[in-house]
Amino acid sequence: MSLLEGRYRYALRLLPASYRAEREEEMVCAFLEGAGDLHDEDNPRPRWSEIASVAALSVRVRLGGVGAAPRFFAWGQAVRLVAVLGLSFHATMSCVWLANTLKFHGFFGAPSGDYQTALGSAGSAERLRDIAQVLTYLLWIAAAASLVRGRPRAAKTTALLALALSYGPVIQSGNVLWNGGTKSVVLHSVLFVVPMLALPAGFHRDAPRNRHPWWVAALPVGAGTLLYVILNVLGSASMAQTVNWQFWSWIWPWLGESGLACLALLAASVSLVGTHLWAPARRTPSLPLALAILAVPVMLTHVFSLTFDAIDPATRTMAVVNVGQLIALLLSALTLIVLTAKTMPPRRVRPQPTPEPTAPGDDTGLPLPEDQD
Amino acid sequence: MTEPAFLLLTALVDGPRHGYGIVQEIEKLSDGRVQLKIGTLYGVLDRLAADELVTLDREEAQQGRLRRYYRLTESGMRALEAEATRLAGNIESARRRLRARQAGGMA
Repeated sequence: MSLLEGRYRYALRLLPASYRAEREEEMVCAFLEGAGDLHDEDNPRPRWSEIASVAALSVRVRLGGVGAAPRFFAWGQAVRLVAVLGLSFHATMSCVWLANTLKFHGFFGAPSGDYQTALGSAGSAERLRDIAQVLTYLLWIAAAASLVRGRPRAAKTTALLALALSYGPVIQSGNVLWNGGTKSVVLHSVLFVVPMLALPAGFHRDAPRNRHPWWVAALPVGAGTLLYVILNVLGSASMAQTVNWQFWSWIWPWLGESGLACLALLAASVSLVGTHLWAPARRTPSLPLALAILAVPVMLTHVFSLTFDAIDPATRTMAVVNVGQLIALLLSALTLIVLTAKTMPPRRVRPQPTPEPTAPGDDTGLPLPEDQD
Repeated sequence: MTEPAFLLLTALVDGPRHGYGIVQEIEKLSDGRVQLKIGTLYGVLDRLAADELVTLDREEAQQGRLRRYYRLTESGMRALEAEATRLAGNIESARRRLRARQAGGMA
């Protein structure tokens, strides 16, 4: 085996074993024919573009679309669900923040004096940042709606733009990652990373195109509006003149972005366990796997938020709730992994493609690839 | 239909070809503009085979290496014909409008 062949075969290990069993030999043959006459002394390597094409093929095969093996299709559906659920969550939160911003601008009553003072005069940097934030919220909502309406390309562009805009204020204020003041930005980013990676990975060319009705696309807006009302009611109650700190310190950790994500995940997990137990016909490996994947960034935000130096009782209670959330998420993720393992289709080697009957005299005497291993 | 898929089907019109043969033919058909990488080629082949537009024709040994030849199916032929008609219609529309614009500009 030449050096180049060995290196190309090593790159092909990016592909699943079942796919390699079927395709490796002919891919190697095609590659070497195109590579020409290269000698080991020249230290030849496959070009990066060749390796990138194998990597892209690997993603498409592993996160299978229409016509893929059941196991790869289940993985593909799980990753697509991660993108849909993650973007829907950000769209829901964007609705809450958008409503809050509009409230400060006086859309639902008198404008906030403090807010207007903080924004400064017309054309100030703060006002531009404010406009960019409103645009970001709208873009997240549009991205989630596009995805649900079966327009993944539009969703990718919109989500990428929203992500870039959401970091604008950080760059503008000159903050540096891991700077003390940017801890919240890092926590916030953790929640974005997984759905933003799942979006291009899952919605490749072979992914099935599901176009849901408008009312499904509008669900994050409805949920966001309801959440805004609930948060406002709770916020007003917690800011009353006489507040039971002991009571509210148990509630507050659930009202932030990661707290709400934790609540949503726990509720979805409980509902899924119920479905698994009482509705076996509706069992699917994709949903528990998607929720388990989404649990990882939410757990990370809780790990980053852990504090062991709380001095007052309220902060101590909140730290305890944070640890409780983390443990609940961990148990939930483990349960989801078990449910996934129970419902995931088994691994199998893809059947060898067999040529249709050919005319006598054809040279078909070569052993099949799996026999050569 | 994507351009690589269209070119791959076109490359198989005059007979079965193996992986590198398809790559070469596509490069020739596109005047060197489209140079398919092997990973991309097999991604397109998988998709077209799943849609039953191409199928495995035969296997051959070439200097001890496996060559699989693929050929167009009847539905592949029809799909390519439909796509070619659609593209030709688009090209004709564009040419008609360009001619009209040039005629308008000359007047």
